[in-house]
Amino acid sequence: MPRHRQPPRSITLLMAAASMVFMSACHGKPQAVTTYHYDNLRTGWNSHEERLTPEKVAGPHFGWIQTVALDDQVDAQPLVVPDELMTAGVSPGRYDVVYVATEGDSIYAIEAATGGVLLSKNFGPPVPILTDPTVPAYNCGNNGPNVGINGTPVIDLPSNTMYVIIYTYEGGVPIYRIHALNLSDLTDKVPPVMVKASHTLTGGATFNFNASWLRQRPGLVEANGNIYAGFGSFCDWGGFNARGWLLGWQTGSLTPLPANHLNDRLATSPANFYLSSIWMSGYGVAADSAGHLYFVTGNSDSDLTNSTPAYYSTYDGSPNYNNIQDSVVRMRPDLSKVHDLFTPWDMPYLDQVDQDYGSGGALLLPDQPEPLPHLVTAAGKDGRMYLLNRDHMGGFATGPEGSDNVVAEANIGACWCGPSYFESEGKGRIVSSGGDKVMVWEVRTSPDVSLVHEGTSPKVGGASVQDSGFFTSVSSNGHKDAIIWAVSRADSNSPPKLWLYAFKAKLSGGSNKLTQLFAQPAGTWPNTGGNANVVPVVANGKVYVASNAQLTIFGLH
Amino acid sequence: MKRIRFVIVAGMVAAAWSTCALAAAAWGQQAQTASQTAARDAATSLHQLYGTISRVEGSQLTIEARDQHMVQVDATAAIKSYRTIILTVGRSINVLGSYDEKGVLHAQAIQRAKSSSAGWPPDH
Repeated sequence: MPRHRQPPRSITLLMAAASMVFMSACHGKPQAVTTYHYDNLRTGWNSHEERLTPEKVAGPHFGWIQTVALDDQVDAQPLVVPDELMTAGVSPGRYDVVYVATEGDSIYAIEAATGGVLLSKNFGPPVPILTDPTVPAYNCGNNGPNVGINGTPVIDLPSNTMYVIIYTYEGGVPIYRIHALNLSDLTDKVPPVMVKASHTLTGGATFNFNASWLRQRPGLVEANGNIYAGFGSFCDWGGFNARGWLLGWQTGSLTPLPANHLNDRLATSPANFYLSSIWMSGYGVAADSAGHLYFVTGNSDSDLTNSTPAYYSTYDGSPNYNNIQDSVVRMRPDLSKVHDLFTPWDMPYLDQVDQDYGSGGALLLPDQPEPLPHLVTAAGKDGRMYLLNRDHMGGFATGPEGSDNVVAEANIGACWCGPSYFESEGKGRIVSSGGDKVMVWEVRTSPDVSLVHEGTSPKVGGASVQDSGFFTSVSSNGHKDAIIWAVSRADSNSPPKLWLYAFKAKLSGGSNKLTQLFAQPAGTWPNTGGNANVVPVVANGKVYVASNAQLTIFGLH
Repeated sequence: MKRIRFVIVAGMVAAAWSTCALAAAAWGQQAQTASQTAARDAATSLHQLYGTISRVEGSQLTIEARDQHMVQVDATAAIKSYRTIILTVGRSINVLGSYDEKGVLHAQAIQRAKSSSAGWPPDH
């Protein structure tokens, strides 16, 4: 067998280094991912991906690069900061850094290229929700053993700051604190602030934020010089104390905003359930260019004792907004008032059968051509995806004969999920991920605004004990080479696996089937009681998938 | 030559640093395993039953298990500790609790379950 002569190792290393420098020089400015689903609209679209084309991803040189071990399950989406000056850790210097926050209350700064851990810091004991009977929400199984950092942090690049909400168990008491961390060394820039809030209920009593019964699951958003975070319940538990909140703090100082928002302000409820949580399977609270905030709420008390006005419900929408369950909500930036909402006409039924609309997140579409430039879309457990006019969201049953007043509607499959968006060939497209398939919908704007189904993927993932739906993102180079990325829910393997998928977004030959480019295991998810709401993060030629106690990096070899 | 030496040294530093990272990772995995074991122990000390609520009388429930057997559930403790979803007929639930000698399952926690029994994990 002929033996090829190998060049000296030092020469190989030099060539590799030169190659990396060359590749860097040949590509545009590295992209940062500073918030959930890449932007405040929550498009999930990185339109500056020059390296990963459909041909390359389908080819033999794309695949697993590195697995990085972490200390606990990861529910928060990884964030990416290029050319960060790390001043602490094993090897200070400038790096492209991936930041990963775990349920163990640790934050890792990981070198994007190699997967080496540059720095990690633990922020205290997480709440041991499955192991310690003294925890109020003990045995709620919608999570791993610990609940620590659940919601995706947000990064403010100009100030080199990460804002993150951390859940700790201190002296038998669950506590939330918001931190402003220096990205260079993960130290607090200002003292962290304990999350507290109070609101007036109908009847005048004061209701206080109770950290023991509240889960901070939605991704944080930075807008209007503030950081906003949504809260909901653990497992719908907590009785009087568990209600959906939207809270805000000023960037920099972390001073709480004077006003806050409580979704259910009722003083009493027939079955002592309130909820109207903001959870969205981890999707981020969205913000438009004017700083208005958007989120979707979950179920509340269906009130089977009430037959007036012919529906069993404690709903109290416009104009009082005393209980706004199962609704897409638009808030003022200062949180002082609900501007508008949309509630499906069959909300009482959704409430009664636990079919939360709020299992999915709200995507704000980038401005579309007239006549309806401002659109928002969201789907929930029953699989209906609504396209709404943000300027007049539709209220509750204001259409003909009490029907929905919406722009368009489509069935995408049961959705513990959230949509993505991209543009190609001059058209806007929504990517849905309900059920077990990706679907692409053209947002047609003429003569009327409508959703036109373009394509469907093969099945994403294997048989799963988890809920339907999953999460996607999209990469493209401008308006070309679009790839839809998806991470499946946990499959039935032992241990259960998550899979990374890639699909070519452009359909060809009149087909309505999306071509699968890639599928490979991307981590495990043993705590199947809580859905794997994993968003694939694509940046600068790499794909990052966080799962149970690991980060998996994919890229070109 | 100096540059080549530098590259080799840099490579060695990187290798050493990777070893440290791997050691830290292994420690993390051990901690995780211990935590998961404790979680499993806690969960297995209680019985777990999946079913659909067929009757509600105050805090007393009748649920239909996956094998169509009817099981009496006393939800008093779960309700008192706020560890229950809203209990209405037709909802699929997961009950964590202990059986008494009469076969009544005393629930400590009641969670929602997938509506189809095909997606229910095993009872124990």
